[in-house]
Amino acid sequence: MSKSTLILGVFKDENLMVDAIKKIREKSIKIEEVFMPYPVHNIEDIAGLHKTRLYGAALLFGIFAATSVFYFLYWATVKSYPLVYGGKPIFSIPSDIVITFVLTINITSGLSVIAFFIINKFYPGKDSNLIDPRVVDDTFVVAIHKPESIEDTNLINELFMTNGAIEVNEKFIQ
Amino acid sequence: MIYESPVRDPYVIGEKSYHQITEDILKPIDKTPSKAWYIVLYISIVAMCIGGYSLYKTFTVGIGTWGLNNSVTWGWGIINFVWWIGIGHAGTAFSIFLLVLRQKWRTSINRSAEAMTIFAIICAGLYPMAHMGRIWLCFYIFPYPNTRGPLWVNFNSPLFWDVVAIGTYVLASATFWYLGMMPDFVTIKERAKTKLSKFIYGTLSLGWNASSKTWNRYEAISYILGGLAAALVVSVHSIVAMDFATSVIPGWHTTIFPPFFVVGAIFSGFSMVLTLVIIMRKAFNLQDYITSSHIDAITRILVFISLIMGIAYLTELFISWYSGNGFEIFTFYRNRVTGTYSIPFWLMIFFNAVLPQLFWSKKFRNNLTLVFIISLCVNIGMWFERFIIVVTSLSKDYLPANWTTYTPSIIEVGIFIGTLGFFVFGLCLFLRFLPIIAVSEVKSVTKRTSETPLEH
Repeated sequence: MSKSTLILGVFKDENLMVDAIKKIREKSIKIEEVFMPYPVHNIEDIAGLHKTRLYGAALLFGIFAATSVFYFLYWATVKSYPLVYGGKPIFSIPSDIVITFVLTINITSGLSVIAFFIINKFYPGKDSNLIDPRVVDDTFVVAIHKPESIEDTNLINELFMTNGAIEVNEKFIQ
Repeated sequence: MIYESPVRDPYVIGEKSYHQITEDILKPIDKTPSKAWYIVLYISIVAMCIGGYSLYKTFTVGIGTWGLNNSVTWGWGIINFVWWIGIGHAGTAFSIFLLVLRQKWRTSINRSAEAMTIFAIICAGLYPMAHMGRIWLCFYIFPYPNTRGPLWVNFNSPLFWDVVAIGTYVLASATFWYLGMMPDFVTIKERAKTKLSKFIYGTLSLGWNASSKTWNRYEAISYILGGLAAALVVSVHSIVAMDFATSVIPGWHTTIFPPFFVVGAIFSGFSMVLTLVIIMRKAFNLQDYITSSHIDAITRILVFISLIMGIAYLTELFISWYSGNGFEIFTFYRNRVTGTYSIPFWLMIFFNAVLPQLFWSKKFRNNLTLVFIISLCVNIGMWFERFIIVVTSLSKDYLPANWTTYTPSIIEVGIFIGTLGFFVFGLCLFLRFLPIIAVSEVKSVTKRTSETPLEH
């Protein structure tokens, strides 16, 4: 989130929050972010938020891993040090399948987790900067950029309050 | 009112608010541990010391301190390795198979099953390293450019596949376990009273902010790791089975081994989970979260797997007879069903294939003491299974001149006691300092499955 003031609608119930989000979006107001104690099903679609592309990245990592491992096995057993084990062929695709499979999983899972950490900017000791400490316990918070006009701000406040929010706050985000 | 399934009991008993769920589950972290916790911890430390001394003797004197001989070259080392790996499949079976299959009842149990996995795999990993004798040379197993040519490892050997598969399994399981705890670490940090707790749990949470974007990515990485590890778990134990099946020893050289081992591993994993959760729910008063319905679900799965185990045992016996191979027939009928090792064989059959059939009856499934005893019996039965496979086939193979018996030495027993100690020690620390149930995941299933009625 960029530097701005946010209007925060605080909810105690998942269904009330989802209904409020739908009503707010009907008025063509953009939801900036939703904070939740657990992942609410399909909230990205309901609130019109960005969906992760991690699945696609994992597929690419998988293709990269399988190709690299297979090439490495070919290089190590045929080019680098061709060694005959018990009269078996130097390069045999069937006997390379298992190790390719396992190493592909190894590299794909490793790269996916690294990507997950990088996109979330997670690192040890990073401050959580929770929008509200209660979001990790029992509270749902819907954040909307505070508009410049007072009428629009009042409309958002009213939409929150009439749709089940227990409180509406404002917070300046650095 | 929301529709309540007549088939499924609620996952969480009672009308609990989200806050109450947080409080109930994270209570053990705030409280001073009970006397029983300290007693178990001290016993596990003593066991670890015994294991440490046994390892010291193994490393300084050599494998000669074990009860192995020229015929039985794999003894308790490989038996316990396979046994621990099997138990280590619990986390994957619970967390990952049930996650991929969208079974929400996993949420109360997955965290502890994953913890078991980590500690069990560490115990398992110790055995091959100890069995190398010169543990300081264990890096030889890794493929790295070296001064010997470079001479690579044999990429087509199941023993090397084992190293890679188990290494990957440890990494994937540990990462999955840790990522799952990140949301709960922030929750613990927010309610922590001391600066030290806030610092530790804050550091562990890595900056989790509970935004939908983070949750979305979190769910994605869970499914990615879950999907990959589900395939991995099948391959890990298949590879362990291939360690045996690719040899020419009678009783080992069979194609049934990989699926048989995978099913056996899941069987022992589930029974160990059962043993643990029965203790855990009682010790930490979590009966509302780990309900009798959860126990019931696990016992039903055990009946099913037990039947597969029974069929596998019968298939092995039938095929050895049907093959007409004298060595196979001898191994199965003269050295397993009858002979020196017939008692462990029949105990294996009784504990793994017969006893769990009691779970067909609801009366037995609801009797927690009985369920606990049977879960322990299955663990013992699965240990006997590995003993039977390893020792009977090796003790009497093709050459009668090589026939011998095998008795483990005190050092081998000591290492096993040490690994048991480490497993219990790890679990004690987990139960004391980490969220033993996935708080955020339980909250996500509460509304739809608890006794709390929902207005639409």
